[in-house]
Amino acid sequence: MRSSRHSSDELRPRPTARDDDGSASLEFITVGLVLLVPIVYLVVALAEVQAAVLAAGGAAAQAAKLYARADDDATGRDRVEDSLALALDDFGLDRSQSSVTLDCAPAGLPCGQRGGAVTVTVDILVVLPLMPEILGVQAAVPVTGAVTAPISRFDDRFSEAE
Amino acid sequence: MPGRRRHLDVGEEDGSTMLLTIGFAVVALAVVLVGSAATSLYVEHKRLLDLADRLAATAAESFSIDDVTIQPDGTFRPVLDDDSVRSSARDDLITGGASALTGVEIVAARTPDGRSAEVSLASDWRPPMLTLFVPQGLRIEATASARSVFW
Repeated sequence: MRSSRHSSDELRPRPTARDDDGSASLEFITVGLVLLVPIVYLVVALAEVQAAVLAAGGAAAQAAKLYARADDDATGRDRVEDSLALALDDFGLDRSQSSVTLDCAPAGLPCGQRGGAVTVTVDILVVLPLMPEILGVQAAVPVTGAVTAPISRFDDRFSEAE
Repeated sequence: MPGRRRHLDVGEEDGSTMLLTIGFAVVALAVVLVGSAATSLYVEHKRLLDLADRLAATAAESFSIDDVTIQPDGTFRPVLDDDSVRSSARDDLITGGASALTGVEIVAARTPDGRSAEVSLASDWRPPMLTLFVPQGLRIEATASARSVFW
C-alpha cells in the first residue's frame, strides 16, 4: 500500500511533463506559422517586385539604345516594343500590366533629332499576390525604369526630308 | 529532488523552443533583407552604368569636324582630346540630370587612344530597407567607353 502510494507520487511529474511537451510543440507550430507565413509572403512579393524592377530597367536600356540607332521613327518604336516584350517574357510578366513612353529631346520636335536624346520609360504595375480586391482597387506596386540614350550628331533619319 | 529537476528541465525546453523559432525567423528575415539589398545594389550599379554609357556615347562625338582626318584607306577618323571629353561628360551630367541616383560624380573622363571616350562615374548606394544587416552604404563605380565609327 505504502509502496504503491510512493510510486504514484513518483509518477505524478511524468504526465505534466508530457503535457508541457505537447504544448511546446504546439507553440512551435503556432509561433513558427505566425512568423513563417509573413516571411514566405515577403519572399514571394519581393521576388515579383524585383523581377519587375529588373525587367523595367533592362527593357528601358535596350529600347533606348535601339531607338537611338534606328533608321526611322516607326522602326524605332517597333524595336522598343520588341525589347519590352522580350524583357517581360524573360521574367514571366504580363504585357497588360506595363506601359512604355518615349520622351524626346529637344522637346516640341519629332523624335530622333540630330544631337538630341530619347528617354524610354517603362512602367510596370506589380499586383501583389493573394491580395483581395478592395472596392475595385488591387494592391499593387508601381515600378519604373527609365534610360536616356543620345542620338548621334550624324543621324540621318531626317536627311531625306531636308 | 528528482521531481524538481524534472520541472526545471521542462521549463528550459519550453523556453528554448520559443527562442529557436524566433531565432530562425530572425535568420530568415536577415537572409531576405540581404537578398533584396543585393538586388538593389545590382540595379543601382546598372543604372550608373547606363548613365556612364550615355555620357561616353555623347562624349565620343565631342570632336569638331575639323579634327576628322581621312586615312590612307579612305575612312574617316575623328580625333578626340581629353578636354572635350571631360567637358562633354560634365555638361551632359548637369543637363541630363542623374534622375534617381544620388551623389553622382565623374571620376575620370578621358580618351585613352584619341578615338574612344572613356567615362568613369561614382555614386553612393544605400540599402533600401533596414540597414541592420548590411553596411551603411557603399560607393559604386562604373566605367563605360564608346567610339564613333564612320564608314
